[in-house]
Amino acid sequence: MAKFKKDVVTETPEISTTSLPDIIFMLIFFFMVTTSMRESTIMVEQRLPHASEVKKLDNKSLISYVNMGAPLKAYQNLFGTNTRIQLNDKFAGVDDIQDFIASERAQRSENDQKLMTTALRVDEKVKMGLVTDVKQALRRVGALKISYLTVKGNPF
Amino acid sequence: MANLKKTPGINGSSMADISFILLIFFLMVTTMGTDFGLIRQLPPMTDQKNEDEINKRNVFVVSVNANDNLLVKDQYTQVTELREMAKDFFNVNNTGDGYPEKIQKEVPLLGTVTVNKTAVVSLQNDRATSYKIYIQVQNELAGAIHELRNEYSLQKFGKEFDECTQEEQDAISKNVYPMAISEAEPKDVGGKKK
Repeated sequence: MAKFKKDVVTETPEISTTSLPDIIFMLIFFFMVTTSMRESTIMVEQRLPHASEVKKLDNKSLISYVNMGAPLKAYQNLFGTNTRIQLNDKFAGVDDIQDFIASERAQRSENDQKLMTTALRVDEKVKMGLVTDVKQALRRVGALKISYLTVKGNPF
Repeated sequence: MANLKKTPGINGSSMADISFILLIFFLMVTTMGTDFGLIRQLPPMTDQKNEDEINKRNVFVVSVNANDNLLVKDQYTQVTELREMAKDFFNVNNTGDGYPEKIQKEVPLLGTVTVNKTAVVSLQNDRATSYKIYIQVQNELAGAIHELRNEYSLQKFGKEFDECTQEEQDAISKNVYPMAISEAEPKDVGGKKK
């Protein structure tokens, strides 16, 4: 006599998720390799101008950044809306550039000091007066290699 | 009776969550990509004013006023026209009154060639000129020089400037088409409206 098998519950087998962490890890490694640590939070508005004749800036460790622009919304009640210079994590004036370059130099070896570049990351609405003041300050301390950071693209 | 107890599998589902947290951390604290920029060399600070008399016809004068209007060689110009004008001015094959003085020069790899005696861009801007237009002007001037170098190397070596060897590039960029941009102190006509 045939037995009737009753409770044959056909459960869908569980999907194995063991490979999921591996996939995510691969993504992490990708990001770790292709990106670099953000060294400071930018506190000024930064919409860089576009330019087409640009060169890639290699060797990030030799670059010191000078940011310029109007303070972001969160800082406006403290610092106003006028264009400001930001060095490292602080708002600064033109006079502070000298100390900034000196401290940046002190962190590098003597051989690297000649190769140091100052990258000006300037918002496109900034007036040239301030940029010129900064350039004069850089000339005074002998940091002559500069780079105007831009976005690669059509300038018009 | 054999003790056939299976060791229970370790539940690894939280591993994915942990790695997600790590991933998000990296997304937040790192920046993508590389920086691109126009690389320039500033002139060193000197006490005495360096005012060599350069013949007026050797100077390509570009002025930008506080309203971002361009004046190139005493003509109102759009930024888009600047590249062609600069190319026309610096081209060593153009001779005549409106163009810079030419001399013959012995250059390694090229032989004796006609080059501009001196040809400089004089860039003058106002304190209230916007940075955007300044970069556009710099970009167009750099573009003009680059295109001229390219044409020259195609003609002499049959390849693009960027594909030439360092010596070939130096022969062109140091002798025939140097990039000489001189920036004057900005004027303050536009006032201190920062």
